[in-house]
Amino acid sequence: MSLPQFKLLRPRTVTEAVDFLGRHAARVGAGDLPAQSLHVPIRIIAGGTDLIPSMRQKLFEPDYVLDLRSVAEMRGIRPQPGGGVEIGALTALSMIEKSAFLRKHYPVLTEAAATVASPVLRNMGTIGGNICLDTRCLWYNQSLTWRKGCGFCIKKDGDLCHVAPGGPKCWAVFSGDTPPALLCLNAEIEIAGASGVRRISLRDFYTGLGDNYRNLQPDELVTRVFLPAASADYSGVYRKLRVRGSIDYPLAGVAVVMKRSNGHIGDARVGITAVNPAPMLVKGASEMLAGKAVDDALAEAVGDLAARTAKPLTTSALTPEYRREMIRVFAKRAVLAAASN
Amino acid sequence: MTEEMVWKDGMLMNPGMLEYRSPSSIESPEIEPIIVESIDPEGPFGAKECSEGSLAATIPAIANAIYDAVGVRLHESPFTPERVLAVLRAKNNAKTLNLTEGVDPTAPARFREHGGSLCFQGKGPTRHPLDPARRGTTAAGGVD
Repeated sequence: MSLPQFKLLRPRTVTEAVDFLGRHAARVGAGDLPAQSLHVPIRIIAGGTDLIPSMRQKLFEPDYVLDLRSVAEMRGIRPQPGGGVEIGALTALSMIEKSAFLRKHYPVLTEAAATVASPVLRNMGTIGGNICLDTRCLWYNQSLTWRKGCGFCIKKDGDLCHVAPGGPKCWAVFSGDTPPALLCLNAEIEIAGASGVRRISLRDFYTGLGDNYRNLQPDELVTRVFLPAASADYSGVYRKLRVRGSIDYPLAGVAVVMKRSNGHIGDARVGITAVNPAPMLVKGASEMLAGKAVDDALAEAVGDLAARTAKPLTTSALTPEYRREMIRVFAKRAVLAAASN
Repeated sequence: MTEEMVWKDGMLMNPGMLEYRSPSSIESPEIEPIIVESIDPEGPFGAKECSEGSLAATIPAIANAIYDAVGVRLHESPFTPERVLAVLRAKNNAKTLNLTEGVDPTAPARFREHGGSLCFQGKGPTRHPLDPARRGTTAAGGVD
């Protein structure tokens, strides 16, 4: 599998990058999000850990690849004077993992970043790339020859779904590790585009669809991630199901943050990933945990709630039933672990 | 423990090294090589193969360890956690689990895809009308 031909664009500033995007992405009709199965003329590369394999499999065949690695202003972890922290989208996952500031104030993010793939991939992979990670499916992340043999699916080139036959919806699963942690921390992201800069909450970024999984125009890029001061110093835990202890994408992931006072939970949030087309917060978990002392029964109730929120399908390895079961188990363990540290 | 070729309608579902999960150095146990210098009369110049012969004992050893620990017999490798859980549940539900029960290998009534992996059972796209595994298909004989 070889890379398709493309032209590499190397901007030095965000303005220049947005300018490139505006020039080359404008050919797709403006307005609604374009279907991902259509030809996208420009793709953004930051770490390349997701894009390069996909390009080799001919999932993306862009005319231009925008290489952001020279944009220095998008790199780095900058604690803000009024509290909170700003993380550049190009910050490597290994930098987040090693940051003493984040480890102290946002431990759940450190833990989630530390479980991503392997050390080599964490050195290259960026937080922005992890947020924008393409959704994955057994029938999608395959070579062109393979997909041709099986029949093209909704997400790329075709109109059928092998996971939910007959359905019009794509169920490809979002497999990022850091987004559930960021959702728990009420993170916001800054998106720069030809039409200006906007700042949205991360939970508005994901659409819940497998094909158009993110709320991002083709001429926009994610530049920064903000963690608010209000969610600092929560104790947090991230638990992840995978077949191997190294390299693998999550097959189910649970992030839990909580703030305690006098042995009772003041505020808590539970996020899940890799079982739905979008990472999401478990609805009702915060209310269930607020004001209570953690015990086994409460943790189990949260696990049941998380398992009900999860909709695993045959998009990944292992059976959906087992992955749902593990969401239940991991949510329970994560709640107990977050309460004890 | 992890490696399995998963087939679905003739497609190999895990053709890459990402999905076909070979253990990496983290999952591998420490291996102590013992070099026995001997002469094998069958091999050229007394040479003997290594590694593969020692693998034969691994699978029954793991299967026996699982039986020893939780009291269930797994008949197919890899012995993944989900399979152990499924077999444990089946045992707790007091159902006998016989994977080859009533299966006539010449005309399987219950077609077992990709070697009986639990994944995809009864799910996925419908078969081609001429697929002999499709129920009720009259075999379309070749015409010369």
